[in-house]
Amino acid sequence: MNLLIMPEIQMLVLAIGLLMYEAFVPSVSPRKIAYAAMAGVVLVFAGTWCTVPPFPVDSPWQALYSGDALAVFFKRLFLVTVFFVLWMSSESIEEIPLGRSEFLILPLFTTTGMMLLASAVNFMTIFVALELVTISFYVLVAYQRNKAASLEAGTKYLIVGALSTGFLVYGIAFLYGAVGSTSLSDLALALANGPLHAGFLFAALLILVGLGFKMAAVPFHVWAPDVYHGAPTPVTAFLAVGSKAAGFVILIRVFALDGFKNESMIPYIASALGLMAALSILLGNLAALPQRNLKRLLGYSSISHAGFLLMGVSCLSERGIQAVLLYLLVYSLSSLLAFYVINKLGPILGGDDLPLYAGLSRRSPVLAFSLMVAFVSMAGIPPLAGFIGKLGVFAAVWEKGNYGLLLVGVIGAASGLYYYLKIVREMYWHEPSGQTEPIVLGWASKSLVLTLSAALVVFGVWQIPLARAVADVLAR
Amino acid sequence: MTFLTYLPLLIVFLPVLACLAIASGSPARQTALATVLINLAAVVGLGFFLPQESGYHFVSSFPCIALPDFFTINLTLGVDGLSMAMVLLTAVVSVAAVAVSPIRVRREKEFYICVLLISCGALGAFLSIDLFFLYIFHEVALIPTFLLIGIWGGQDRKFAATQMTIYLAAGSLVLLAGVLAFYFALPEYGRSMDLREIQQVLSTTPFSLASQKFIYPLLLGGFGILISLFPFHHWAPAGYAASPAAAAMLHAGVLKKFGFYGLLRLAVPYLPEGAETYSTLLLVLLLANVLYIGLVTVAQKELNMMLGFSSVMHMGYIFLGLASGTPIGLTGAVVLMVSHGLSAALLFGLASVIREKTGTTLLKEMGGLASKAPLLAFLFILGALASMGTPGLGNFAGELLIFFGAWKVHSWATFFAVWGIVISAVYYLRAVRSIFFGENGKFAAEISDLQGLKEAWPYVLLALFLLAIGLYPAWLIKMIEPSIQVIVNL
Repeated sequence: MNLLIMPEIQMLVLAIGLLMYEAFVPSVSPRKIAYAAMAGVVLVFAGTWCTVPPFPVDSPWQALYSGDALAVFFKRLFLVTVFFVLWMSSESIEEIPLGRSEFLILPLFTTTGMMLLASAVNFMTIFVALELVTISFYVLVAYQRNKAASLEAGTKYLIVGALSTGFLVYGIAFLYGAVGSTSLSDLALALANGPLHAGFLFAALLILVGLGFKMAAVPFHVWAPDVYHGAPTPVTAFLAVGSKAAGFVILIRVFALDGFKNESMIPYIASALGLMAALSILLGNLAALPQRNLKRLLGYSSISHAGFLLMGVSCLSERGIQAVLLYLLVYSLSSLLAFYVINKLGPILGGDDLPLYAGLSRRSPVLAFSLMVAFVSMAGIPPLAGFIGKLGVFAAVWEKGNYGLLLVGVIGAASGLYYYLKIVREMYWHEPSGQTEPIVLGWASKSLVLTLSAALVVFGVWQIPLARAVADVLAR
Repeated sequence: MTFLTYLPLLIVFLPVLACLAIASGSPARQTALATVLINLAAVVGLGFFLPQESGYHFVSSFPCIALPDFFTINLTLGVDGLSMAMVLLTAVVSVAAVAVSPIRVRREKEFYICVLLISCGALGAFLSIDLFFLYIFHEVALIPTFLLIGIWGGQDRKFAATQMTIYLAAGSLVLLAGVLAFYFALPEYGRSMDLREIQQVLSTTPFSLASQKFIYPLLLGGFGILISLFPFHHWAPAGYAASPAAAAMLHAGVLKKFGFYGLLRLAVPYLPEGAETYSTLLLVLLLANVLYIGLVTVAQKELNMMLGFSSVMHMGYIFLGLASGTPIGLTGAVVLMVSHGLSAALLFGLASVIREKTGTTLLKEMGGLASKAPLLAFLFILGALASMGTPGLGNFAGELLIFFGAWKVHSWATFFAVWGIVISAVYYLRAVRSIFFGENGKFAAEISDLQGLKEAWPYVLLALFLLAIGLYPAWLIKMIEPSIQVIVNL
């Protein structure tokens, strides 16, 4: 019975239960399914505080699944994300032509995969969990089948995703050849005891390529803008926050905490990650400058955020990881807020193009203010929370003495400001064109966006809760 | 005494509360005006009770950790003489900036929220004893300034606001690198963001020469961009020319001085050898500020551009005071920081009145305003005379002390810098002549004067403080003296 306290299994039960219910009671409205799913997610979220270990200490499962604090941290992050994704989906469900209830249930499967990924300490579990995430995303991205953009995004994501899976499997196979096991701790042991040979390096490179696709880091980023643009907005939010965090939890486990973490490997890994970080920051920020579509722009900006996160991981130090976790927290908060507002406004304004946002501050001061807070936080301007994330990462890099990377980060952050301000400019400076009537908001949406904005402001100057959450993760 | 301890906290966060009140419907202009007036009263009270000793007083501290075992950061507020002077300047200019804003300004709520946030940022930066918050509070003003110029600005506002914001953000990032460098150069046991602890640590174990040489240029570059040190001055004139009066007054008058304040807190006391290494470079740059920008100012044909360039030019003098490193020079620098803040605010405020009344900013299209608007003319000429460095007004006291202090150390640079006074006399007198005297401009016919004290009181307030510093600078010097002693003795 111990297995029932695994949050993954709870999620699975919830998802399958809802699917069954929908199959037998077809008349149920999708919105009710969404509320049920959200309530279930809240329960699972609360359950993550129940600390009984799922397996007896020396069970063979231990080699596959870890319930450590890092896993719990990411599981909570994924649960919060899917809660928001469900909320967004339920609000814009009219945009989905067919299979609305499934559109609301599929994210639960994705989340199960992500949560399993957070606990995976063996390449077998990593691979299976990653596929669960990716395959459900293939479906979600292409869900608006009446829109060419959505189908195109789905196809692109499918092809690129399959390619990256191939790289990953190839890398895992190589590693198995070199180590004779797929467990991360065996890999660490083999590296510690034996000589370093090219097989390890080649396998690490292939695995890094596979993960690079998931994180949308340069040079494996090409899919991101198109997919972000074409996918339904809640799915874009899920990709930007959930999928990215999932890529990073594996990256941290495989390269920075366990697995390849070995004196002989560190210089190679650090320089490879550092290079990816620098390229992502530069390309993400510079390519975002001319974008006219908000979702596309956020696609590029998410590439740059992947770069900043990689900067932290490339330190391969405890502080680096702490900084990455903190960055992920504030990035998720601001991204979810931004996507919530974009999702809300999409049907009202008739699209996500920048000119449609002209004069938004006149039509809906609350939404404009929230979007401004989200973007300014992403740009990393104090006193908003995003600054703390950047500060942590910069400080960790500084401590490692990697000034070149720091310089790239500073240049990237400064140029990123331009396109974030472009949106603020559109909303505040310009007068509304076309429709001018005020946008009415329900109390729930209003209090949600105001709470998130307030959180971004407050966490910018008072980080004790965030810092504590992050500090506990690595305290073993 | 307990109440006084929390007064700085109240001063900093009152504008934030006022913003919330305005956002939820309280009358914008009245709320804003009440807030800045209460703040001015509180600041004056704080100054009245400030003991004549070195060190920080009325300190209150609240834990706000950013990263465990990495940064321990507290929101620590308190005042010493130096910050008192700057806070007083901020409070006075804030009152003037709110008061001179047009009564029926477009999108009133957002306007006053932005102005109050800028004021809050400046107050917080000067009252913070924690390096982290010193930095953060300054940045609070960035986005409100962007919005103020972008929404309510004049010609070229879009370009000017974007340029200014990105310039300032880039400067802040360089500064952040400098602050990080400073922090990590501290010995491991004494790593702290608290300025008092930094002082203690560094008074026993000063920075090595190598780290000083590394940190100083970062701080000088970062603060220099915020101050508009040549060649990073380009954002300032265009930005100020496009700003609405309140933004220009607060920015040119107060926020720009934050850069000097930071240098006085970090670079001058703890990095003397770093400063020595780069002193020739700094002298060349500050002379470029005074002489080159001075000549550029002479060539300006628009009143606001001229004032913008002139405010860039005068930064050179303050840099000269800082570069001297002598007690007299540093005292002069602080006196000039305060007086220049007041005179710049006065001139930018009046320039917007002139622009409103005449409908033009071109100097050659104005003329003969003095006969129609004698009070306006009197106040403007007072501000111009102050800015030129005429005895009896605050700027003269500051400049004189700076020249005395710098002459001993950098006599050649001082020799050249003094010529800046002639240059500023040229452009100010020319501007006064073409605005207020000579032939009537096209618009001079229907000009009305400021309607007595009811309209003029914000300007009179600024002018009174200028006179107070000019005629009796001792009160200000006495206030800042203990802090200067601390800086020099380290």
